Amino acid sequence: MEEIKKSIGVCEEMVFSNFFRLNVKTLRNYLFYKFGNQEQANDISQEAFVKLWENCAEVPLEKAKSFVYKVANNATLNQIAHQKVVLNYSKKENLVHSTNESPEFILEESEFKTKLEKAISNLTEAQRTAFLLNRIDGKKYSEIAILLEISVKAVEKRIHGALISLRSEIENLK
Amino acid sequence: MESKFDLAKWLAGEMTKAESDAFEQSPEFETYRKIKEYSSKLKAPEFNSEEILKNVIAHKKEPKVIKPRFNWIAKMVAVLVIGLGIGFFFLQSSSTTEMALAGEKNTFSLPDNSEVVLNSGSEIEYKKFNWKYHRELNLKGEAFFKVAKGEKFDVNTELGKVTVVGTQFNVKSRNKNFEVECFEGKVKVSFNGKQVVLTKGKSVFIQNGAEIESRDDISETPNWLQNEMEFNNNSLSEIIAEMERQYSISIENKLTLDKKFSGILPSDNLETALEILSKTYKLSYSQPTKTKVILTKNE
Repeated sequence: MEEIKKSIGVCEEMVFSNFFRLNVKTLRNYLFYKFGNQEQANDISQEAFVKLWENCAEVPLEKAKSFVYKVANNATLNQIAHQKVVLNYSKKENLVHSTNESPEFILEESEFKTKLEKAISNLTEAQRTAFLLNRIDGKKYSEIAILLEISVKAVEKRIHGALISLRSEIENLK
Repeated sequence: MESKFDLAKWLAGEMTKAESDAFEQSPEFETYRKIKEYSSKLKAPEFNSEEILKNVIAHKKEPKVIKPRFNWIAKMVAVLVIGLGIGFFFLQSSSTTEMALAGEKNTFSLPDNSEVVLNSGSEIEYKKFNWKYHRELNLKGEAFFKVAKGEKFDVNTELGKVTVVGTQFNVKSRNKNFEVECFEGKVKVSFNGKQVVLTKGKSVFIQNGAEIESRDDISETPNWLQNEMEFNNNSLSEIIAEMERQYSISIENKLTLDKKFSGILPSDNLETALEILSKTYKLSYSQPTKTKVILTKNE
């Protein structure tokens, strides 16, 4: 007797939890990059997943990701004011520890990092979200296109624009 | 001034060799290179996702359809692997096998509603018959368990055995590495005639039959559920084996490098994982096809 593959429902708590854990970080970071407000990003993420949980019978697992992003984006439609996006540099960095760097190099590096952070916060919302989803969350352009509901070409355009904007701001401050 | 190079393609590493050579000659290149390097070291602020999950689950659902509920028929939702995995139903003394192939994870429930998530390249075998009074299964690879209250629950692996009473824990049995992490409740680990008892937040790591580390500061759930591969004094070949499982690719390694390391690699971003690996071991890599990577000496 062969077991027929049952369609996977999000109403199963384990399936839902697993989906949640795989997706909440990216969703919440995306919202944070957009508005710079941690609490709001946490709240809206929670709201989006609650809606998914409440409607679990109607949303198949394959559609769950676009569902939560839709809900999250709708919840922010009325939001206009946003704050400066504050990021930090990872303490873990690479697994290689650089040992023989001169003090000048370390200072230069630190200055560049500061300029970069400032420049990122001055990007347009569209450029910043696409850029950070790629750089911090490691999302490919095709994945970003799905999350933001735009074409891959549109993502590339935002990334290109972000890079130009970043360089121009960094070099003007030199 | 509009740049004549497609910077998005460059950032994604999709420029042709001719294009990237030309770009690297341009005066602006150095700044872009630094932007690329430092931006990938940025981090978003941490937040408590498990807290959010608790809040979400706590929301009561609207009963849209009222169905008669038969609690004594355990929820037998065998979530099968999408792809080639096929499960068979046998009666009484026959076994059930659940597996997760390379690049997949498999979540399923046991007959008593205990929950299991299988990591890539792992397999579990158990007998459904009389499960409630005899909960014992065989594990190859790695799985995270959330055990319902009841009689004792045993996980057998080639490297040791784990016995629990109503807990959440992770078991990893790969080659010579046996690692058990306890997230909730109490877990007894038996290996090589020795025994260790773990309580919440504690873990034990056994390599080649000898206990090499016990920690008591582990996170709330295993890293791999969050698309991270955690390594603990592992060799390069062990890292490669895990990467092959997670990414469903084959990695050819002609180098013999003894250095062991501990750290975390992403399991959802191959480029980043390879970058970190190549910097740590000072090697180069190429990816001739989507499913093949070759590691070579750094010239």
